[in-house]
Amino acid sequence: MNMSWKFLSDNYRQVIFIVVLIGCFLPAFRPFGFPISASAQTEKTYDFLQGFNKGDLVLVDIDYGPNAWAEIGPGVNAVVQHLFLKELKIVFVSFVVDGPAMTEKLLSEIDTRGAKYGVDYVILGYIPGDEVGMGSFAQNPLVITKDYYGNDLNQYDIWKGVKMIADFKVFIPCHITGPEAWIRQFSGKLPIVMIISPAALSLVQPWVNSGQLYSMIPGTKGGAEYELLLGKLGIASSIMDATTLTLTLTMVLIIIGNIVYRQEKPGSVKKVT
Amino acid sequence: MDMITSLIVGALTLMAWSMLYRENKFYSLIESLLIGFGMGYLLYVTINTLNNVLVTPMAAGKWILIIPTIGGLLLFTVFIERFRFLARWGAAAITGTGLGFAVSRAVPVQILGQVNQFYIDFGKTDALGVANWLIISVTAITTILYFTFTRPHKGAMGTIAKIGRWSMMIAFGATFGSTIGGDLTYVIDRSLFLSQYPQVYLLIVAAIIVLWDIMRRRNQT
Repeated sequence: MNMSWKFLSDNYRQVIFIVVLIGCFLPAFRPFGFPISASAQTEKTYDFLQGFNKGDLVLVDIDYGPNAWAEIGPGVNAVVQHLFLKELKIVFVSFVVDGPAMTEKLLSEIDTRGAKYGVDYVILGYIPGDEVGMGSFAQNPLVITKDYYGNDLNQYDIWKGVKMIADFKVFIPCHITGPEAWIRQFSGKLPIVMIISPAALSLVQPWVNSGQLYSMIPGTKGGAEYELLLGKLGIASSIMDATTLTLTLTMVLIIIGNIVYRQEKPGSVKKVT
Repeated sequence: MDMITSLIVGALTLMAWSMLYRENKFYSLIESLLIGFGMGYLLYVTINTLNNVLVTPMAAGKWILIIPTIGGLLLFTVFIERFRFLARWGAAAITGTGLGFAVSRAVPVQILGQVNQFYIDFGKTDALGVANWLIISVTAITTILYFTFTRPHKGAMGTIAKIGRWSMMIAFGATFGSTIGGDLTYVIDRSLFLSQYPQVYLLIVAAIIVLWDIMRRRNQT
């Protein structure tokens, strides 16, 4: 076997690490600007939210932790940025413990255009109980009486417009797990636009096909497409540049790996450890 | 202040990545920090939530909340052998409520709602829509039949089960591919952060430490 093939075969782990790191770091120092085009789902979401009037109530559910931010956060940033640009009234809620902290992070990263807390947006905080919490909130949002900071919700103008779940024009849950719980408790009560991890794409598609979900945004990839439609390129577009390069390099590695495998003599194949 | 924060976050990121080189004390430290901060935040949110949904309403006279409070406290009897059976009551209440919420909505949403998409109006659907409907129908039915074990998977049933298995493999493959693509974003996000000033200089420091360790280990052997 050729020496270079042998080197690759003996040090395949190190080669993979180095190639992936090059793919991730190179666009950070020298952006390639790979072309992106908006998918039908992203365009559908954009057009739907674009049709809302100033002051319409929307419900955004932040259900991911800091460990999942890179996978979904840039997509959430792009969509919530659109909500603030449209001057909608936004109620943030969370059914996971990390949600409120991620909501604060989200608000610190986007341009809220001078929106006032309690008038233009409010953070309800964490609602415990998982699906039981979701179900109770979907039946009657007024079961929540305090915001994340422990203040009485009735003092806020935005909360005075909430009487039932149908008062919200859209529900935007953002999470990286299977979508069943959210769909079970909110489907049929108001339109749902789901922001999900790209890994959950095939799990969510049947719900979009059946019309139980209005549309979906697949995490950072969808975020990059959304930034394109907004005309404000941001972190999602930067991440997609590196993703495209790294996935291309990964495909090259798969091809090389197969060639190396074919080059090895029968019986000399090492076990993967 | 921003500069110091960026340097700390950058250093912590590289300490976590140091595991790629080999097991080391920096990695152990970041592991402990992550668990410590995570537990601290969890405790803060738990106390805050208990205050909002339990203590404050009870102080305002909503004494009915004493019932779920007792149910929750019963869970702690698991630590006392004599009263351990009482923990089951609390667990039963939690499980029962959860199941009630989930199952009551599962039939209309997950079964009837999903079956709806099998209905097709051929007069109003284009060729692509019909092809989609055909694929969805065949894959759904064959996958369900794959899990039918009351008849042996032989003959026609064997062919159907094979189509079902292939359908699932394609679906799992698509999910796995998307997962890899999604997971890459974690590394890329950190790479973008580390490529900015001033944390970019930490990359040089990290490279020097790794080289120094390689040489040190080589001299020892």
